[in-house]
Amino acid sequence: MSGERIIITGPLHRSGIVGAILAIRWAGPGREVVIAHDGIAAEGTMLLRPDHQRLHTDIGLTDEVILTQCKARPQFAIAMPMYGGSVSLPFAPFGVSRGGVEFHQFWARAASSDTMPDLMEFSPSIALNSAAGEVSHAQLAQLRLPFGLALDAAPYCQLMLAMAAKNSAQVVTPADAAAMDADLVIDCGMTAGVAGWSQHMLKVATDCDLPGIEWQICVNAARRLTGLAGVLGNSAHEQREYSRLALAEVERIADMRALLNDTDPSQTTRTALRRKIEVFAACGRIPTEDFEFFSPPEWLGAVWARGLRPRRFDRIAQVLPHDELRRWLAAIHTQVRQLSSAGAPR
Amino acid sequence: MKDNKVKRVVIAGGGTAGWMAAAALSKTLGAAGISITLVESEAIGTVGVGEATIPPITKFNTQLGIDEHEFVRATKATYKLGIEFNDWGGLGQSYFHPFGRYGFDLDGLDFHQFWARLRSLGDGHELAHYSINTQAAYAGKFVRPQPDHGPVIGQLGYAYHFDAGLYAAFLRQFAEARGVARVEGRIERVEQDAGSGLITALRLDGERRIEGDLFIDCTGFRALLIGEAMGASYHDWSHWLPCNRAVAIACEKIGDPVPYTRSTAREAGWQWRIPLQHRTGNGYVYCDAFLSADDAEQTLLANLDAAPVSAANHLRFATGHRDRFWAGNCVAIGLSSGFLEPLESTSIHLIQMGIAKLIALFPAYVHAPVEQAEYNRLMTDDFTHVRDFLILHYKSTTRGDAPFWDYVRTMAIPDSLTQKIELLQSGGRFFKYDAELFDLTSWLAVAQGQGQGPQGYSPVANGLSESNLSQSLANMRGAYAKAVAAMPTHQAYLERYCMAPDEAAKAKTA
Repeated sequence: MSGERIIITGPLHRSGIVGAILAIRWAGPGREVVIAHDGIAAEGTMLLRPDHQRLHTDIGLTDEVILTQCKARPQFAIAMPMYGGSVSLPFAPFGVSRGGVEFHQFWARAASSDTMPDLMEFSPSIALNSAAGEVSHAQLAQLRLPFGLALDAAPYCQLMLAMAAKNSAQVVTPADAAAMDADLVIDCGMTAGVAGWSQHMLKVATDCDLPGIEWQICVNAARRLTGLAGVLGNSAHEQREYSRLALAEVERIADMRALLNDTDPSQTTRTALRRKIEVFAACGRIPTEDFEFFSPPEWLGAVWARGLRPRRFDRIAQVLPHDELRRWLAAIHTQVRQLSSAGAPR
Repeated sequence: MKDNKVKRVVIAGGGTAGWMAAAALSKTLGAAGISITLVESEAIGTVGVGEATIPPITKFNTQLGIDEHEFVRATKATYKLGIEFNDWGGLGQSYFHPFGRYGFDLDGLDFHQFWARLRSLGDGHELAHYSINTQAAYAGKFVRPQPDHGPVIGQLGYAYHFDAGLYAAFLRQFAEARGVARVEGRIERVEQDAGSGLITALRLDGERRIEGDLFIDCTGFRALLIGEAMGASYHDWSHWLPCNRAVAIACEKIGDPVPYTRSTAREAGWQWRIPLQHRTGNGYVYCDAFLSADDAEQTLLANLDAAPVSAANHLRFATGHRDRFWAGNCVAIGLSSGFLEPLESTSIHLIQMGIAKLIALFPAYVHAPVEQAEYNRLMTDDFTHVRDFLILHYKSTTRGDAPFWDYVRTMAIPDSLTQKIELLQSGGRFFKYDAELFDLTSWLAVAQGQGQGPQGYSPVANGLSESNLSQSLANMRGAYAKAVAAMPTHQAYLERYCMAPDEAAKAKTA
């Protein structure tokens, strides 16, 4: 074998996504990508987080292709299973921040003296997700809100595989791949164990039991690798950095899982999650870590759904006169309610 | 008292930190019914920290609603596009750390990867050729980027050199206009609650008492509140950053001020040169284990542009930070909280970060253990990130001409820095931590400038043909050169928009 070769193994939908990104962002003269998927394709619906826009632009896939071939529907929030039920975590912020202060701080100030609609009723994402009508492509552009996609998994996986092949990736059977040398094997298997890169093996997967994270984990892994990979055979520093970031990703996902599913998340022993909960309870802010998988509105939606509430609101929220605050909140509430009737009839 | 609501903030000490805190708190919290009192004594001199700043200062001023040109006039400021480092990598070597980025990314890949590939093909152009900041700085040009200036000038990042004393006075006016009460007096004693240890009041000369709920220690190196009263200990980093003294002397201005700071490595440390509208600030930061104070002063005097206009001001410091930036009901901001030598002009930035975090976590009650812990964690991160970047300058030297340089070149460094250097050198890869101040451009500028830059490049950069690569980068160089040619000179910009009235009059007379 001359040059360098990466072999990607595992289920079709995962190896197809990783393969397409590597074929476009890494492969080239002397650098070969081989996809040896196991033929197990995802069925039903696949959830893509808002990062899909950046990814598809990067690899040259248009919205039109995705929408028509994969029957994609916008998702403004993601439904997560939760202790005792489920919750919709919004991709866009609640309300509108003002003077650098997040909206929920103003809401909390108003709620401290008046009866207020629940904070969730100020989420444009949640309102749109339950909208009576389908939001058109033109409306999406106008709304300028982050949104994910729910799409048919099978055509999407085939599309990604075709993108990979179009960019010179070889698609072979696992048996053929076993006879090939590789500088790096990327294991996208469902039971790949701890994520990380060591020597000639890179393990992508972790437990993907939360909706919408599987796609993002694959995308992040491929991006991380293309951002780091120089000469594969001499990459000790890159391997360490990859594994550090992958581990941070695993930890942040585990934090969200614990927040949503633990009987009493405030008793968690997870350091970063505990800090998030304590600081939120103290002053309504949610501190971020070096690497975050979920966006701030998702964290806020999750802590709120678990019944956690700040003991006080940001003092800067007090700067707004009371009457002005009430009028402003009422106007936002009306606007958000109007979003519920957005779009054409489903 | 620990269950008391925070209604009264007392800032101990004026100077840059005290008045920055007073201005920001009065702007953001004044209308929330919080009273702010600042205690300072004209009998106590200020260190006059900084004078040179980094780009985030523009955000601080913007958030206060300060008109930039008015501020530049009032503080006799000049614009700053970066820092020139002389003799750092080796004697006779020079490089520029720009505030704006290098080049334009291609196909989603960092620019420097393409630059490194072109270099591997024999092209000799430096990173500096792809930096609007570097090109403008050496041409003595400046313009404040506006949205219609286009993407090339849009890359220009800038900060200021200013007279820190005038800045404090400017902010004092701002803060007093927003209700901050200034009390003239020397702090003689810090009164504490016998049970909780919390600070209850500052006792001033003449038996005056200033009571408060939350106290901000801006007393400089003395750290009267956080250190002496609250007993927060000091985390010493001298083994990594051994410079522990400085001597500062201002000199007459010669010629038009250049839009950059200069840092020249010397026998046992380094010398700064900061051009203002009316004078030039100079100083020698050194380690007293390798150089005496007299020799440092003589070296500095021998390397001034012109006649000195101030007496030598000798300072002692220990690099490091308080183990608790916020202890009890006292928050330390500025020199009382810690010190990192001003090699990358971060002193005022660290003040700004302390203020921003305090506002973000401003407590409702005196007892605020969660906010306190979070504040301390975030400030420790800020100091640590800056520390690593400063150590990089010393560690990546090749100098072996003096014992000081032998020490820093061979010293052990933090693991966090080792990993960063290894990754950067391996293939030019860089991952910025969440709260990290310095970005890829800064790390590249210093590492590459001192001969420790990337050894390879990303294979993705091979995606362009050689001729396309060569042409693309030539186009970029051309665009930078053209943009710089069209910019006004720094002096012309100052004269047109923001020359201090007395300096403008002097220029007219001359």
